[in-house]
Amino acid sequence: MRNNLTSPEAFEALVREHQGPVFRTLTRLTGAGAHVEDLAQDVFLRLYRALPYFRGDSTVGTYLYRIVVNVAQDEWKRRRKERLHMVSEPAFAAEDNDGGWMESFAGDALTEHARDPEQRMSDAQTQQAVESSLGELAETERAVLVLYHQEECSYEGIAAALEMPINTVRTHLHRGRKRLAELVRTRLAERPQADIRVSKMVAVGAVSGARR
Amino acid sequence: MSENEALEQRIERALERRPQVAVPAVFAARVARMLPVQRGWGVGVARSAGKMAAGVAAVLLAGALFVLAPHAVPSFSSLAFDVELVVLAELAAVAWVLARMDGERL
Repeated sequence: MRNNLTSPEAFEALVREHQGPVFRTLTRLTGAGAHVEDLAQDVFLRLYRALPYFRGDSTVGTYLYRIVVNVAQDEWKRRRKERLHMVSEPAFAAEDNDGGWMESFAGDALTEHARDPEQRMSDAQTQQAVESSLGELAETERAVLVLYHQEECSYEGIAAALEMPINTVRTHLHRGRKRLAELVRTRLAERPQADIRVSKMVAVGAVSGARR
Repeated sequence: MSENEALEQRIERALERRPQVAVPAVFAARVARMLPVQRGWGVGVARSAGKMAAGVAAVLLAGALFVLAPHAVPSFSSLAFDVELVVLAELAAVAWVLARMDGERL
């Protein structure tokens, strides 16, 4: 396998085959933005450099997920350092609060139409709360949740990708879900108050506009 | 269905929802153009040989420590004690090399 993959043509085909999951996972782990392409490039270059040591005891996909998680963690470290020097606002939350990739969901059209508008609205609010809350989880919990739910990796696959025992994967998944639910609940509880504040501000603005 | 269960279901749906990403059409070709010259099989073989040699050295050094232990007196004038210190330093160096090899991130 190694011999085949080291030629630029074969590697290009491999990149084409795996680029979708790599972009998707990086987007979920680090937020949407132009940086995702640079990170994806880094992932594939790391994979290429690691090919001579690839023993084939895991699939290329699993190996790639391991690199993706490492690259995402490096990006988080870089952001933390940058934030220490520059701003107090968390970079992930800032990127996600503006909607980011959520505007371009690959939503299932049939199920979308099957839900009523209220349900769709509450789903959208939950989605936004989930995206923001993911950024507040520990790195490993976030990675385990994304690999399990979004990428549909098995416990074994996640254990191989993150180099940890299967029981540890289960523990991280359980803890991650619990913590995420708490965070989402808090965010959703805060939301109606924020909406009321915004509508009050709009009303005040309209009144003062009318007086002028 | 309770409110909590409904929220948990909504969270699960949100997590399962895949972001739609736009991968540039030339991305794969661009990555292929950026590939460094592959150093090939030699590096991998040399690396595993080095790892094996370090492992064997660690075992031999640990054995030497056990052989020297009964003869060592905790004084720098004792030759066995001095040799034990040297062997310990070498063992630490081997452990450091092995840890560095394993710690290299992908």
